Amino acid sequence: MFFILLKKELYNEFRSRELILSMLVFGLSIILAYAFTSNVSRVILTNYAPGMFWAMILFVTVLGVHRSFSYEKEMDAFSMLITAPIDRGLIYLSKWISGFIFLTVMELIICIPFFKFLLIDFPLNPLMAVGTALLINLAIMAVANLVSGIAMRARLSEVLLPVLMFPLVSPVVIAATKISNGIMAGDPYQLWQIWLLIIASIIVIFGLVGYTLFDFITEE
Amino acid sequence: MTPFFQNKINRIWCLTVVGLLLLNVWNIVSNTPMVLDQHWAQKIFYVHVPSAWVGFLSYFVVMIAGLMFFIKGDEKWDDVGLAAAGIGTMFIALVLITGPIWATPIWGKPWIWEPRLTTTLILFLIYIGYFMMRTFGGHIERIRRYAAALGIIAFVDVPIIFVSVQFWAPEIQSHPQVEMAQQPIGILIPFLLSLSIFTVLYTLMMRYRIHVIRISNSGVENV
Amino acid sequence: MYNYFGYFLTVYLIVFGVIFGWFFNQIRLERQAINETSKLNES
Repeated sequence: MFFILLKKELYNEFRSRELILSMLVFGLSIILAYAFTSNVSRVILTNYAPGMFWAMILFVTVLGVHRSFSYEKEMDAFSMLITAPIDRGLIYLSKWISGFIFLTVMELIICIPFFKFLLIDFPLNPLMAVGTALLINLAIMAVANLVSGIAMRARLSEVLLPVLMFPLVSPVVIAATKISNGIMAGDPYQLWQIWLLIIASIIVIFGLVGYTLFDFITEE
Repeated sequence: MTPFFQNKINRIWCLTVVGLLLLNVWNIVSNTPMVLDQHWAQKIFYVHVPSAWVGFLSYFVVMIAGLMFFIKGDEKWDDVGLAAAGIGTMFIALVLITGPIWATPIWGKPWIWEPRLTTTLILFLIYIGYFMMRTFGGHIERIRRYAAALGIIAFVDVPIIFVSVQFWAPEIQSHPQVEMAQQPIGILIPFLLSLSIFTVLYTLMMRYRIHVIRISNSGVENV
Repeated sequence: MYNYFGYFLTVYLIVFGVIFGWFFNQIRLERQAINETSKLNES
């Protein structure tokens, strides 16, 4: 059942490419804003770059998740989904995993302009960077989709989603910045492995909480 | 629907709490030792930390109310959650106001990204979102469910937030008065007294607030 | 002078002022709510 839901999300995106494209374009405009607003030396910018990257990903995630849940709001597909005799936690799981896939694809594409326009060197250990980025994307999407389940059917959902999401996702952002800083600086694994543990625990905890609570949240 | 203080027990309770609060202040002013480098400012600790304790306790109650709301399906639990959220946010706001006032003479600057203060700030922001959601959430049944879920999520996130913020800036030391057990007896006993009096105050505030919420709800349902 | 009494007084006034203010506000809210429900019950 979960795979059917997941396939639905992926097929939707494959046909329209709406989500990834809009996230990409938004990411590019943020990089442009970064280029104009960072009037500092290249060394300082290189140190700050991981933080800037994850801040950009946060804003892009808000856009992407809002759009993803808007699909359900249109034509009131949500009600149809809810009345179907399925475990509603699976809706959360499918949104989570599909969101994770879209975010990863978008990140892989956006990091080229990010590094090139801001004149930052690629990380010395790209495999490690990609691997940790996958975990971080999972964590961000876990929190974002759970909050979205709450915020989307409210009025002012565009405002409510980031207002609720950003404080809740702050441990992920802190951990992501620490990990990326460590990788960019070429630090050994031991120095930042604690942050990977924090990310892993966030994934597990929010995944479980989201799966359990989504059933209760989407009652009608 | 009778006023809360028409009940004799509640009146006695309220007077007791007022008396205890006055006793607390008198005790702090007269019986506590004067710390050398901080003088009077150190005594802020006797209300600052109990406020934080009551705030976090209240947020814990919001989580319990949320869980019970989902398990029992009884709407009364949402009243408890709303009351606890409001009172908790009030005390956390007090912590965030009195903290910088205490910090200005002691540390020289009003704010540092110290783990517990940062966790408190993040939690405060989460609950601002909670009240925004309650305002804009839609019809009341939906709001109750979302509020219960948010209360659970927020408190589940607290230990994660605290651990990450602690490792985030390890060079920033915690409050000087961190280790409660290591405080000398002269400071510990008045502190524990203040803590218990604040908790008693909290129970009174909760009862009163739930009473007022129930009155407003009964008016709405009659329409 | 360097005894920081001003900070102490400010904090205690704020804390207890807010707590008492909350109680007075609750009394006002309670009065409003009772008036509204009794009006609704009459009509």
